[in-house]
Amino acid sequence: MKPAPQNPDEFESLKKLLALKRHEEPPPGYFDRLPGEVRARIAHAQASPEPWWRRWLATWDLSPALATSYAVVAVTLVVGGIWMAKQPVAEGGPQIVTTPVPSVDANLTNTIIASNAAPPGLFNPPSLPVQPAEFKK
Amino acid sequence: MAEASAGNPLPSEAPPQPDDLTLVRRAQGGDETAYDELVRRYQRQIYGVTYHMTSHHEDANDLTQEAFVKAWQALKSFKGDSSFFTWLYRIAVNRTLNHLKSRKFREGRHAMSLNDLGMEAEHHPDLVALVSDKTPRRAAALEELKGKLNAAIQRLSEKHRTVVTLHDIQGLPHDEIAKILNCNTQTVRTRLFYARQQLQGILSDYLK
Repeated sequence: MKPAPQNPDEFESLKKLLALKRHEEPPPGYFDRLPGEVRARIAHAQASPEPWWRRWLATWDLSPALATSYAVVAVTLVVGGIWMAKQPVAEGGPQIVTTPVPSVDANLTNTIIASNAAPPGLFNPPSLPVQPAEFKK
Repeated sequence: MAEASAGNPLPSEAPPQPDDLTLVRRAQGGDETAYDELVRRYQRQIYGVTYHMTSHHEDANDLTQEAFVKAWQALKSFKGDSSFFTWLYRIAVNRTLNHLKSRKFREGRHAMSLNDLGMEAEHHPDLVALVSDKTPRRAAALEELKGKLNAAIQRLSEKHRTVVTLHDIQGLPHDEIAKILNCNTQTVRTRLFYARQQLQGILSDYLK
Protein backbone atom coordinates (compact mmCIF):
# COMPACT_ATOMS: atom_id res chain seq x y z
CA MET A 1 0.00 0.00 0.00
CA LYS A 2 1.50 3.30 -1.04
CA PRO A 3 1.18 6.36 1.12
CA ALA A 4 -0.70 9.31 -0.24
CA PRO A 5 1.42 12.02 -1.80
CA GLN A 6 3.07 13.92 1.00
CA ASN A 7 2.74 17.63 1.37
CA PRO A 8 6.14 18.86 2.55
CA ASP A 9 4.52 21.16 5.10
CA GLU A 10 1.98 18.62 6.22
CA PHE A 11 4.02 17.36 9.13
CA GLU A 12 6.22 20.41 9.65
CA SER A 13 5.01 21.20 13.15
CA LEU A 14 5.17 17.59 14.18
CA LYS A 15 8.71 17.24 12.85
CA LYS A 16 9.83 20.31 14.77
CA LEU A 17 8.29 18.96 17.91
CA LEU A 18 9.89 15.55 17.50
CA ALA A 19 13.26 17.09 16.74
CA LEU A 20 13.17 18.74 20.15
CA LYS A 21 13.45 15.34 21.75
CA ARG A 22 17.08 15.34 20.63
CA HIS A 23 17.77 17.64 23.52
CA GLU A 24 16.72 15.09 26.10
CA GLU A 25 19.69 14.22 28.22
CA PRO A 26 20.43 11.45 30.72
CA PRO A 27 21.52 12.42 34.24
CA PRO A 28 24.64 14.63 34.36
CA GLY A 29 27.93 12.77 34.11
CA TYR A 30 26.31 9.72 32.54
CA PHE A 31 28.40 9.79 29.38
CA ASP A 32 31.60 10.22 31.39
CA ARG A 33 30.88 6.98 33.22
CA LEU A 34 29.51 4.90 30.37
CA PRO A 35 32.81 3.90 28.64
CA GLY A 36 34.15 2.64 31.98
CA GLU A 37 31.00 0.64 32.61
CA VAL A 38 31.19 -0.87 29.14
CA ARG A 39 34.83 -1.82 29.75
CA ALA A 40 33.89 -3.46 33.06
CA ARG A 41 31.14 -5.47 31.39
CA ILE A 42 33.48 -6.60 28.64
CA ALA A 43 36.04 -7.70 31.25
CA HIS A 44 33.34 -9.56 33.15
CA ALA A 45 32.12 -11.24 29.99
CA GLN A 46 35.67 -12.33 29.15
CA ALA A 47 36.24 -13.67 32.66
CA SER A 48 33.08 -15.74 32.63
CA PRO A 49 32.25 -16.55 29.03
CA GLU A 50 28.67 -17.31 28.18
CA PRO A 51 27.65 -20.85 27.21
CA TRP A 52 27.73 -21.60 23.50
CA TRP A 53 23.94 -21.46 23.07
CA ARG A 54 23.79 -17.95 24.50
CA ARG A 55 26.48 -16.80 22.08
CA TRP A 56 24.57 -18.52 19.30
CA LEU A 57 21.39 -16.70 20.29
CA ALA A 58 23.32 -13.45 20.41
CA THR A 59 24.28 -13.84 16.75
CA TRP A 60 20.59 -13.41 15.97
CA ASP A 61 20.88 -9.78 16.95
CA LEU A 62 23.40 -9.27 14.21
CA SER A 63 21.43 -11.10 11.59
CA PRO A 64 17.65 -11.14 11.76
CA ALA A 65 17.66 -13.03 8.45
CA LEU A 66 19.62 -15.83 10.09
CA ALA A 67 17.20 -15.89 13.00
CA THR A 68 14.28 -16.06 10.57
CA SER A 69 15.83 -18.94 8.67
CA TYR A 70 16.40 -20.87 11.92
CA ALA A 71 12.79 -20.25 12.87
CA VAL A 72 11.52 -21.42 9.49
CA VAL A 73 13.56 -24.63 9.67
CA ALA A 74 12.44 -25.29 13.26
CA VAL A 75 8.76 -24.70 12.46
CA THR A 76 8.99 -26.86 9.33
CA LEU A 77 10.51 -29.71 11.32
CA VAL A 78 7.90 -29.49 14.06
CA VAL A 79 4.94 -29.21 11.69
CA GLY A 80 6.35 -31.96 9.48
CA GLY A 81 6.88 -34.21 12.48
CA ILE A 82 3.35 -33.67 13.75
CA TRP A 83 1.91 -34.28 10.29
CA MET A 84 3.87 -37.48 9.86
CA ALA A 85 2.86 -38.71 13.29
CA LYS A 86 -0.82 -38.13 12.56
CA GLN A 87 -0.83 -40.01 9.26
CA PRO A 88 -2.91 -43.25 9.52
CA VAL A 89 -1.16 -46.44 8.46
CA ALA A 90 -2.25 -47.10 4.89
CA GLU A 91 -3.68 -50.53 4.06
CA GLY A 92 -1.45 -50.95 1.09
CA GLY A 93 1.51 -49.76 3.06
CA PRO A 94 4.60 -51.72 3.89
CA GLN A 95 3.97 -54.77 6.01
CA ILE A 96 6.21 -57.30 7.63
CA VAL A 97 6.04 -60.48 5.66
CA THR A 98 6.42 -63.70 7.59
CA THR A 99 6.86 -67.12 6.06
CA PRO A 100 5.78 -70.23 7.87
CA VAL A 101 8.58 -72.34 9.23
CA PRO A 102 8.66 -75.68 7.38
CA SER A 103 8.23 -78.74 9.53
CA VAL A 104 11.44 -80.61 10.14
CA ASP A 105 11.66 -84.21 9.19
CA ALA A 106 13.06 -86.27 12.06
CA ASN A 107 15.21 -88.25 9.63
CA LEU A 108 16.99 -85.15 8.49
CA THR A 109 18.10 -84.07 11.94
CA ASN A 110 21.57 -85.42 11.49
CA THR A 111 21.91 -83.79 8.17
CA ILE A 112 20.82 -80.47 9.62
CA ILE A 113 23.26 -80.76 12.47
CA ALA A 114 25.93 -81.70 10.05
CA SER A 115 25.12 -78.71 7.97
CA ASN A 116 25.50 -76.49 11.03
CA ALA A 117 29.17 -77.28 11.15
CA ALA A 118 31.35 -74.42 10.24
CA PRO A 119 32.39 -74.48 6.61
CA PRO A 120 36.04 -75.07 5.88
CA GLY A 121 38.03 -71.93 5.57
CA LEU A 122 41.20 -70.18 6.61
CA PHE A 123 40.61 -70.71 10.33
CA ASN A 124 38.94 -74.00 9.90
CA PRO A 125 41.06 -76.04 7.49
CA PRO A 126 39.35 -79.10 6.07
CA SER A 127 40.35 -82.26 7.81
CA LEU A 128 41.93 -84.68 5.43
CA PRO A 129 41.52 -88.36 6.02
CA VAL A 130 44.83 -89.70 7.24
CA GLN A 131 45.62 -93.30 6.75
CA PRO A 132 48.48 -95.04 8.45
CA ALA A 133 51.38 -95.48 6.15
CA GLU A 134 52.40 -98.89 5.20
CA PHE A 135 56.04 -99.64 4.58
CA LYS A 136 56.89 -102.35 2.19
CA LYS A 137 59.55 -104.59 3.35
CA MET B 1 25.94 10.84 14.09
CA ALA B 2 27.38 9.91 10.79
CA GLU B 3 29.48 13.04 10.63
CA ALA B 4 31.79 11.62 13.21
CA SER B 5 32.08 8.37 11.36
CA ALA B 6 33.28 10.01 8.22
CA GLY B 7 36.43 11.07 9.95
CA ASN B 8 36.22 14.50 8.41
CA PRO B 9 39.07 16.85 9.13
CA LEU B 10 38.40 18.91 12.21
CA PRO B 11 39.38 22.51 12.87
CA SER B 12 43.12 23.10 12.74
CA GLU B 13 43.63 23.26 16.53
CA ALA B 14 42.22 19.81 17.16
CA PRO B 15 44.53 16.83 16.68
CA PRO B 16 43.48 14.67 13.74
CA GLN B 17 41.11 11.94 14.82
CA PRO B 18 41.55 8.44 13.41
CA ASP B 19 38.58 7.35 11.34
CA ASP B 20 36.27 4.54 12.42
CA LEU B 21 37.87 1.87 10.29
CA THR B 22 41.32 2.57 11.70
CA LEU B 23 39.96 2.32 15.22
CA VAL B 24 38.06 -0.85 14.36
CA ARG B 25 41.19 -2.50 12.93
CA ARG B 26 43.12 -1.58 16.05
CA ALA B 27 40.32 -2.86 18.27
CA GLN B 28 40.20 -6.09 16.29
CA GLY B 29 43.85 -6.49 17.15
CA GLY B 30 42.96 -6.24 20.83
CA ASP B 31 43.53 -2.53 21.41
CA GLU B 32 40.95 -1.67 24.07
CA THR B 33 41.70 2.05 24.01
CA ALA B 34 40.69 2.14 20.35
CA TYR B 35 37.38 0.53 21.22
CA ASP B 36 37.01 2.98 24.09
CA GLU B 37 37.29 5.78 21.58
CA LEU B 38 34.56 4.20 19.44
CA VAL B 39 32.33 3.94 22.50
CA ARG B 40 32.90 7.61 23.30
CA ARG B 41 32.21 8.53 19.71
CA TYR B 42 28.84 6.80 19.47
CA GLN B 43 27.53 6.53 23.01
CA ARG B 44 25.17 9.49 22.66
CA GLN B 45 23.58 8.16 19.48
CA ILE B 46 23.21 4.64 20.79
CA TYR B 47 21.82 5.82 24.10
CA GLY B 48 19.49 8.14 22.17
CA VAL B 49 18.00 5.41 20.02
CA THR B 50 17.50 3.01 22.93
CA TYR B 51 16.07 5.76 25.12
CA HIS B 52 13.60 7.07 22.58
CA MET B 53 12.42 3.56 21.77
CA THR B 54 11.97 2.48 25.38
CA SER B 55 11.32 5.83 27.05
CA HIS B 56 13.07 4.50 30.10
CA HIS B 57 16.51 5.54 31.27
CA GLU B 58 17.49 2.31 33.08
CA ASP B 59 16.42 0.16 30.14
CA ALA B 60 18.24 2.45 27.75
CA ASN B 61 21.38 2.33 29.87
CA ASP B 62 21.32 -1.45 29.97
CA LEU B 63 20.62 -1.80 26.26
CA THR B 64 23.35 0.68 25.37
CA GLN B 65 25.93 -1.21 27.40
CA GLU B 66 24.76 -4.53 25.97
CA ALA B 67 25.01 -3.19 22.44
CA PHE B 68 28.62 -2.10 22.96
CA VAL B 69 29.55 -5.40 24.64
CA LYS B 70 27.97 -7.42 21.84
CA ALA B 71 29.68 -5.28 19.26
CA TRP B 72 33.04 -5.91 20.94
CA GLN B 73 32.40 -9.65 21.03
CA ALA B 74 31.39 -9.69 17.38
CA LEU B 75 34.05 -7.26 16.24
CA LYS B 76 36.13 -10.01 14.62
CA SER B 77 33.23 -10.70 12.27
CA PHE B 78 33.04 -7.07 11.16
CA LYS B 79 34.33 -7.06 7.59
CA GLY B 80 33.61 -3.46 6.76
CA ASP B 81 30.83 -4.19 4.25
CA SER B 82 28.83 -1.44 5.92
CA SER B 83 30.13 1.40 8.05
CA PHE B 84 30.87 0.67 11.69
CA PHE B 85 28.19 3.21 12.57
CA THR B 86 25.50 1.31 10.62
CA TRP B 87 26.66 -2.04 12.00
CA LEU B 88 26.62 -0.78 15.59
CA TYR B 89 23.22 0.85 15.16
CA ARG B 90 21.85 -2.40 13.77
CA ILE B 91 22.98 -4.26 16.88
CA ALA B 92 21.45 -1.63 19.16
CA VAL B 93 18.14 -1.45 17.28
CA ASN B 94 17.76 -5.23 17.07
CA ARG B 95 18.52 -5.66 20.75
CA THR B 96 16.04 -2.95 21.62
CA LEU B 97 13.34 -4.50 19.44
CA ASN B 98 13.96 -7.89 21.05
CA HIS B 99 13.75 -6.25 24.43
CA LEU B 100 10.45 -4.59 23.56
CA LYS B 101 9.03 -7.83 22.22
CA SER B 102 10.15 -9.99 25.11
CA ARG B 103 8.72 -7.80 27.79
CA LYS B 104 5.34 -6.22 28.04
CA PHE B 105 5.66 -2.67 29.03
CA ARG B 106 4.48 -1.94 32.49
CA GLU B 107 2.39 1.15 32.17
CA GLY B 108 3.64 2.61 35.38
CA ARG B 109 7.24 2.62 34.24
CA HIS B 110 6.62 5.07 31.49
CA ALA B 111 7.27 8.20 33.31
CA MET B 112 8.82 9.12 30.02
CA SER B 113 9.45 12.68 29.72
CA LEU B 114 10.76 15.62 28.03
CA ASN B 115 11.10 16.72 31.64
CA ASP B 116 14.73 15.93 31.18
CA LEU B 117 14.95 18.66 28.62
CA GLY B 118 17.40 21.32 29.58
CA MET B 119 16.31 24.91 30.07
CA GLU B 120 17.91 25.72 26.76
CA ALA B 121 15.59 23.36 24.91
CA GLU B 122 12.52 24.53 26.78
CA HIS B 123 13.13 28.02 25.50
CA HIS B 124 13.90 26.78 22.02
CA PRO B 125 12.03 29.02 19.54
CA ASP B 126 10.38 26.05 17.85
CA LEU B 127 8.85 24.78 21.03
CA VAL B 128 7.81 28.21 22.24
CA ALA B 129 6.21 28.91 18.87
CA LEU B 130 4.34 25.64 18.88
CA VAL B 131 2.86 26.30 22.27
CA SER B 132 2.19 29.98 22.13
CA ASP B 133 1.42 30.72 18.50
CA LYS B 134 0.19 27.71 16.63
CA THR B 135 -2.09 25.94 19.03
CA PRO B 136 -5.73 26.82 19.41
CA ARG B 137 -5.39 26.36 23.12
CA ARG B 138 -2.96 29.10 23.92
CA ALA B 139 -3.20 28.34 27.57
CA ALA B 140 -2.09 24.75 27.07
CA ALA B 141 0.77 24.04 29.34
CA LEU B 142 4.12 23.01 28.00
CA GLU B 143 4.05 20.02 30.31
CA GLU B 144 0.82 18.82 28.77
CA LEU B 145 2.32 18.94 25.31
CA LYS B 146 5.37 17.00 26.43
CA GLY B 147 3.24 14.35 28.03
CA LYS B 148 0.99 14.06 25.00
CA LEU B 149 3.94 13.74 22.63
CA ASN B 150 5.58 10.97 24.62
CA ALA B 151 2.31 9.12 25.09
CA ALA B 152 1.66 9.38 21.36
CA ILE B 153 5.09 7.96 20.51
CA GLN B 154 4.53 5.03 22.83
CA ARG B 155 1.25 4.27 21.09
CA LEU B 156 3.07 3.65 17.82
CA SER B 157 3.97 0.11 16.86
CA GLU B 158 7.62 -0.85 17.37
CA LYS B 159 8.37 -0.60 13.65
CA HIS B 160 6.82 2.83 13.34
CA ARG B 161 8.43 4.06 16.54
CA THR B 162 11.79 2.91 15.25
CA VAL B 163 11.64 4.92 12.04
CA VAL B 164 10.31 8.00 13.82
CA THR B 165 13.13 7.73 16.35
CA LEU B 166 15.81 7.24 13.74
CA HIS B 167 14.57 9.86 11.28
CA ASP B 168 12.56 12.54 13.02
CA ILE B 169 14.37 12.49 16.35
CA GLN B 170 17.88 11.39 15.46
CA GLY B 171 17.96 12.85 11.99
CA LEU B 172 19.27 9.84 10.07
CA PRO B 173 18.59 9.81 6.32
CA HIS B 174 16.20 7.27 4.80
CA ASP B 175 18.87 5.20 3.09
CA GLU B 176 20.89 4.89 6.29
CA ILE B 177 17.78 3.73 8.15
CA ALA B 178 17.07 1.23 5.38
CA LYS B 179 20.55 -0.23 5.84
CA ILE B 180 20.14 -0.42 9.61
CA LEU B 181 16.73 -2.08 9.40
CA ASN B 182 17.71 -4.23 6.46
CA CYS B 183 14.77 -3.12 4.32
CA ASN B 184 14.36 -0.85 1.32
CA THR B 185 14.06 2.91 1.37
CA GLN B 186 10.44 2.86 0.23
CA THR B 187 9.50 0.76 3.25
CA VAL B 188 11.14 3.32 5.49
CA ARG B 189 9.25 6.16 3.82
CA THR B 190 5.96 4.30 4.06
CA ARG B 191 6.39 3.50 7.73
CA LEU B 192 7.40 7.06 8.40
CA PHE B 193 4.34 8.41 6.65
CA TYR B 194 1.94 6.27 8.64
CA ALA B 195 3.74 6.94 11.90
CA ARG B 196 3.53 10.69 11.34
CA GLN B 197 -0.08 10.44 10.31
CA GLN B 198 -0.88 8.62 13.51
CA LEU B 199 1.04 11.10 15.64
CA GLN B 200 -0.59 13.98 13.82
CA GLY B 201 -3.99 12.53 14.61
CA ILE B 202 -3.23 12.09 18.27
CA LEU B 203 -1.67 15.53 18.63
CA SER B 204 -4.03 17.37 16.30
CA ASP B 205 -5.23 19.75 19.01
CA TYR B 206 -1.72 20.93 19.61
CA LEU B 207 -0.42 21.16 16.09
CA LYS B 208 -3.00 23.25 14.26
